[in-house]
Amino acid sequence: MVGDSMFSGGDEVHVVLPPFSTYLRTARLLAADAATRAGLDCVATEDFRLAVDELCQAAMRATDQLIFMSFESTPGRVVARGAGHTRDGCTLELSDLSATIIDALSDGFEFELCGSDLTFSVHRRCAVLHHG
Amino acid sequence: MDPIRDDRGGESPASTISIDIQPGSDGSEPVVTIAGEIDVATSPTLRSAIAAIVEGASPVTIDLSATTFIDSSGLGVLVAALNRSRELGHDLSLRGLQAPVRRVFEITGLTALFAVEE
Repeated sequence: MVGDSMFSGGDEVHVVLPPFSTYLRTARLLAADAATRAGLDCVATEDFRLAVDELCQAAMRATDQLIFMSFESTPGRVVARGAGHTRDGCTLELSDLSATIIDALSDGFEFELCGSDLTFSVHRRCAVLHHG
Repeated sequence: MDPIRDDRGGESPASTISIDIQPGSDGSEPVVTIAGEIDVATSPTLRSAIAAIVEGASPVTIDLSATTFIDSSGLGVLVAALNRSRELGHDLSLRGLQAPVRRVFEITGLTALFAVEE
């Protein structure tokens, strides 16, 4: 494959998303791709895709600026991270329903505001590794 | 909660959802079939379509057999439609939930709220 023998930067994809709801689909596509490369099965991949969607939509509600995301795949584990800046005076809100969904579908997540710096992350492991 | 802007005001992006409404006739109830992905970008379209049919005088069935994704915004639309239906004194049921969608309903406890047909 192209570049396989030359590149040693790790299995991480970076993307910059405009804060528009139409780009949630882009985030989901990349989440599914990263989860698949990490070796997650279909159910876990769907779980991760939805967890990323929920975090991204909450982040998009809080900002009118670009959101910087990365998707890191390692064998049996996938992590999505995001960062951006909130609008002036905007508070960070994750609905109870979203929190319930993310908590149930991931192995851990963070959604934090420090000053105007918004960060979030979510990770999911392979079911075999998760239970084993 | 602040809304997310849906686009830059230019041409609409390709929709990832299609909604087919079969009006009830000869005693059968209306069926709303939703195909594709229900998220923050598509749920306003869904909300409008369902609101129009729910305001009718008969029970409504929502067919999700071709729905491949639903997030909290989509769930919110369906719960609002259910609440409105109950206010109007008629039923709203779901059918055809595929595994990924069913899983979301289960983890949020919404399978207990809706009448779900197989």
